[in-house]
Formats: sequence, structure tokens, C-alpha cells
Amino acid sequence: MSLVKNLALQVLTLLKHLWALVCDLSGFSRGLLAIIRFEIKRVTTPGRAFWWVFVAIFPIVIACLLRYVVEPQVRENIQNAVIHQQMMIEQNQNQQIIVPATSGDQSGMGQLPPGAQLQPGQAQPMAAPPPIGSNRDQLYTVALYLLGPSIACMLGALLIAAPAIASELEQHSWIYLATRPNGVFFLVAGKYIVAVMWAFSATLIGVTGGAMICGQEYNSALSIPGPQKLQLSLSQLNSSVGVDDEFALTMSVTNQSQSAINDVQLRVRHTYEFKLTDLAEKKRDNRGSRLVESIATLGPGETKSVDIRILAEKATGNQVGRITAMMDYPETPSPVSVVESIQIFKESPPTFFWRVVILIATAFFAAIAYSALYLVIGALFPARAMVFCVAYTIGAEGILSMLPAVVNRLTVQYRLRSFLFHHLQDGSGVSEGVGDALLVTGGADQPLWILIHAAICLGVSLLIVLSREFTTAAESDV
Amino acid sequence: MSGPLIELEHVTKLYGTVIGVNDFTARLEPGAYGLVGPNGAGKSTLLNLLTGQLVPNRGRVRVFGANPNQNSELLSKTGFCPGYEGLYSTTSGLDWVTLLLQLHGPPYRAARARAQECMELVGMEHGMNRPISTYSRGMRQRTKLAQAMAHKPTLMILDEPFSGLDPVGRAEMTAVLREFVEEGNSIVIASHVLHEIEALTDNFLLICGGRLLASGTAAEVNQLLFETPSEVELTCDRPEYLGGVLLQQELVRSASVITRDGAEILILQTLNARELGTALPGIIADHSINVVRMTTVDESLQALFNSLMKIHRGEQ
Repeated sequence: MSLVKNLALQVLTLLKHLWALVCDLSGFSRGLLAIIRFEIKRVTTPGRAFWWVFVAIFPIVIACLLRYVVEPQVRENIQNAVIHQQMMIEQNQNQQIIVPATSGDQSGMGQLPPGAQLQPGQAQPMAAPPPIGSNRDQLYTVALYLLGPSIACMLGALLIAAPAIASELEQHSWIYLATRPNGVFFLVAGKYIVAVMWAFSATLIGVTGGAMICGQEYNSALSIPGPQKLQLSLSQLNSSVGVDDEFALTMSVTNQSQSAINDVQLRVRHTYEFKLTDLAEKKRDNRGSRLVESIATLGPGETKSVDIRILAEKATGNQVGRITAMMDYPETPSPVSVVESIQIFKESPPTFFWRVVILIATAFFAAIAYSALYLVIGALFPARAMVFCVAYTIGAEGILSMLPAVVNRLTVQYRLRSFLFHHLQDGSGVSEGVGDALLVTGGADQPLWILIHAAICLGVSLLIVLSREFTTAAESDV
Repeated sequence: MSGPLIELEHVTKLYGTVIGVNDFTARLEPGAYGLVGPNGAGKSTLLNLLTGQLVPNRGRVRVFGANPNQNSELLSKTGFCPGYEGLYSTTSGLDWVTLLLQLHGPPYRAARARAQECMELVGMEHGMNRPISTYSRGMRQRTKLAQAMAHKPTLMILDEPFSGLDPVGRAEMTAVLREFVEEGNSIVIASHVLHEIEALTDNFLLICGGRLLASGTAAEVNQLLFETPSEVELTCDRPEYLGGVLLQQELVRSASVITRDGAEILILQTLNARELGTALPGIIADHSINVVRMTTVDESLQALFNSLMKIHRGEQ
């Protein structure tokens, strides 16, 4: 009973403090700014500055490794797989196929449309190569999330917020601040703000730098360069054309050679999520593709464009499906076939800027949430703040957040992942698979949840430091 | 806020099973007070209760008639100089005092100017811009004093403020504090060395084992010193004879002779050192005894406290 009474008294005291501060806003801001300015001076010492640089550089270094060491290796593997398949097809059909591996998205090429029939001895459809293009961008987005908001920001908050109270007790400086009017409030709030600034600024540098290094490869307009005489391109014109879920594409072919080329065939193949509105009557060939246009003669430098309409039937989220463009023309000694595919989106395709903005926003919310969380753990266990914070991070944020159960919703990681997925899914085409892997369900209320969580943590921290007696005897235990 | 400067009613503070302050009752009017007691007497606990950093387990604490716990209004009128250092080593003394002053509300420039003024007042004009890590202990003490008085409090609570100061520094700080008191402000100053605060105030509270043993002026404390059992050592010729005379006249409770460094020493235990001190010169002259040296072996504060504690427990 006395505990409840004591707690109620402390809550009342806290509210009194807050009310007094609200009544004297200028004094409040001056006190808070004084602590912030002083703490910023303290965290810019060489030792702390080293850690800031480390937290900021860490995602950039890993991004560099991914971009310049891992990715070339993956691309080489793709190239080898494609060459291997080409050789198999040439053996079967004696036909030359050129598949540029460096542009556009090739995943999904191996999918057969319903009803496709393969004859013995005919070319096998290509198996899906490792992800590239929009999948590559998704992977980099997830990697940058893990490196930035998830690890760097958490580390930054851990370094500054966790020992915020313990350090004052250790060096016996607590008493000087605690014997000032609202000194404890200013101290906790000021240190929290500095921790958020410290962690967020380092992560901002890390995420932005990492994103610039990773870049973006996916482009909704597909253009296939190469040594061939004809240039094939496929582009999404707009998000819809009057009817819901109906999209327009343009398929273009340009003769880049000095002589006319005869008998050029443009074909398309698609995944099962949608159908081709204006080509529905055309039958599929043995590769599962439909003839779009047969061009008798294409003069030197001449371009021929054809519009195609598609109707989404099983669109999931922002993604409609994949379209594969194919072009065949006779060439000596063997005919040439050019194949490429792109992902079709309902809304605007992802932009590099949007991805970076969402990652930075996630980092900001991570800094807010983790700083508050570590502050309250530091207030509860000032003697072993770091140990308890690390244990909580591993147990709750590491393991619990990845459990496929409702309990993972109590973790900050879950909220951050949901925020990221929600915004990139709507605007940028992070696939359902990525969402499933991250165990999230999208939701626009994540920032609100994070802000409420941080406010509760801050309030509890203040209650703890206001009610606990940090005196000489207590300090000696730290 | 009104009322007496400090009111303590049966205040008890426990650290688990250890008693910090034990049933302490006192009522102090505005003025300067010395809180005197040996190490571990409970002085710091009492000061922490007065600043609201501790809450008593039993009893009631009032400063200017108000509960000091989480009392911002009271804290703005109180300056506190704790016994331990706790200064940020990487910042300058001026920056630190400015920060603490800003928490009272003044804007940065005003706070900076006042902090500078206080640092000069405590004799830190040459070192105030240096990092605190380069300060000597005396300089740190001066800086601590500057932060306690920077916001112009009406009550300063000082825990061992002269610790680490050289005699010159001690005299300078005493002058600063005396001026503060002369301006009509109050001071509660804790120390385990009586003469450190004698120069500042005549009012003492003697505390030991968390209890208030005695209170009064310096003269009253000296009287107390004289009236408590004490031991006197005499280096003289014919010590056995002198001891016999003193026992016969009931001026001492016991007399014994020991040999130390080849000299015979008479050790006397008396209940009334003042009476002995008054009668001894006449006895020495009457009996033509040659006294080489006379000392009281337990004139320290600790001895006084030990004696007071014995009285308190009813052992004497």
C-alpha cells in the first residue's frame, strides 16, 4: 500500500515538475538548452568522437564490401549461368540468344504461362537467375536497414544513453545537478536529446553514404544494349489507363545498323498475375510468348513502337507482375533472339531518393526509441547499465523480435521493420517475400507507437531517478 | 516559505540496517552553524536530508518551513557544496559553474558573467578557463564553493569545504563565507575539525553515531571539554609523590607512573580538567616539584565525542 502511495506521490511530483516547466517555458528551454549544449561539448571529446565516426563509417564500409566485393561475384555467377544456358539452347536449337545480364530485371523468366506446351528438342525456358535489378535494390534496402537503424543506431544509443545516469553517479557529479531546481528533469531530458542526436547523426551519415554507394539499378524503362543490330526497349507508360489495374506499355525496336533488316518479330511473355488485354486472342508459342508485331522491313535508324495493354488479375500490393520482351530476327549464320523482362508496378516505381528518405526516417525513429529504452534500463540498473542493455538487446530485440508470434510486436525492431516495409511497399515495391522474411505486417501507426513507447520510457526514467535516493552510499555501489 | 531555518523532528534515516541519523531533533534559527562530528558521524546524511536528496524513514525535516524533497523553490534558495569532488574533468571550471547556474534560469550571458564573478571571488580568476583535470585539490574546493554561491542562495550547506585548502586558502574562504553570513544569509557547515569552523561561527552541533550529542557556542563546547573525563600526562621529578598529593586532594580519579624513553611520566585521569588545571600550579610550587612537560593526551574532538557517547549510554 505504501508502495502505491509512494508511486502516486512520485507521479504527482513529476506532474508538478512538468506543470512548473510548462508555466515557465523560457526557463525550461534555457535549462534544457544548457544541458544539451554542455553534453554536446562532452560528447565531442576525442574518445567519443572516435566512436561516433566508427558508428557512422561502419555501414558505409559494409556497403562498400557488398557493392564492390559481393555483388561482382554474384553478377559473375549470373553471367556464368546464362552462358551455360545459352550453350544448352544453342545445342538444342542452333539458335543464338543474347541476354544482357546488366540491365533490367531477369527474375521470373523461367515461369511458364498456364497452358504452355514444350516439345521434345525445343529450347528450355531459362531458369530464374539469382536476383538482380529491383530485387538487388530490395536486398540493399534491407541490408542498409540492418546496418543503419538496426545496428548502428542501436549501438549509438547504447553508447550514449545507457551510461547517462550511471556516469553521473560514478563521478559523483549527480548531486550538483540534483540540487538544482528541476535539475534531474533537465539532466534526463537533456541527455536523452543528446543521445538521440548523437545516434541519429551517425546513422544518417552511415545510411546516406551506404545508399549512395549501393545506388539503384532498377529502372521501369527497359533498354537492352548490346552488339546486336537492333535495340529493344520496353517501358511502362503510366500507372493505369482509365480502367482499374489496366496498364500501358510501349515496346520499341530501333535498327542501329546501316542496312535494312527484314522479318523482325516482337513477342511478349508474362507471369500469371495479369493478362494482355489487346493480345488475348493471340496464341502462345512454344516459349509461352505471344506475337505482338511482325515487322516486314526495318530501315537503317528506323524505330518501330507498339503499345501493349495489360490487365492485372492477381496484383499483390504495389506489384502487378513481370513482362518479358522478346525480339527475333534472322541473322547469318544463326537467327538472333533478345530477351528481357521488367517488373510492372501499380504506382510510381521506386526512387533512390524515396528509399533513402524512408531509411533515414527509420533511423530517426530508431534513435528515439532505443535512446529512451536504454535510458530507462540505465536508470533501473545504474550499476550494470551496459550489461543489462546488451542482454536486453540480444534477448528482446534480437531473438524475441524475430519470433513469429504476437509477442514480437512489443519490440522496437518489429515496429521499425513494419515502418520500413509499410512505406517501401506502398511506394517502392518491396516485395511480399521481403515482408514475410521480416515478419512484419504493414501499418501506418508505427511512428505513433514508437513515440508513445519513448514517452513512456522517458516518464519511467524520470520517475525512477526522482524516487530513488542516489547518495554517497548508493553511489559507492556503482 | 517561512519559519525557522531548519527544523528536524525525531529524524531517523536508515541505510538498510545501518543507522545514518538516529532520532535527531533540532530547531535552528537563521544564522551560521557548525555541524561537528568525527568521520562516519552522520554529518553528510544530515546534509543530504536538508537538501532533499534523502527522505527520512521516520520524523520530519523542514527547511524554511518546507519539505526539501523535490522542492524546486527551496533548491533555488539553497546552495550545496558536497564533501566529494564530482567535477567534470574535461570542462573548465567557468563552464561548469555557468552550466549549474543556467539551471536556475538566467540566460547564458548573465550566467556566464555571474559565474565569472564568483570564480574571481573565490580566487580562481587565473585558472577558471583551464580544464578541471589540471586543478589542484584546493582549486577544486574553491570551484565547488563558487558553484554553491553563484545563484545567490540565502542558505549554504557546506560539507567539509576547507578540506584540501592550504592555510592561506582556508583564511580566504573563511573571509568569503563570513561576508556571506554578514549579509544576513545562513550557513550550515559540516566538519570533523572544530577549529576549522570556529573562525566562522560560534554555534555548534556536535553529532556522533547519527545522534545529536550536544549543541551550543564555542565557549559552551570548551566548557564541555573541560568537564568531561580526560587524561593528563606530566613529565616531572618525583612523579609518585605528586600523584599521591593529587589523589589525596581528590583532584584526580587515578594516577600511574610509566617510563617512556628513559623518563618517568605521571598519567592522571580526572573528571574535571579545569579544576585540576587551576590547582596544579599551586601544588607544584608548594611542593617544589620540577615539571618539564604537561599535556592532555585526549583533547581531540574524537575523545570528546567518545566521552559524550559514554555519558549518553550511561557509562559515566
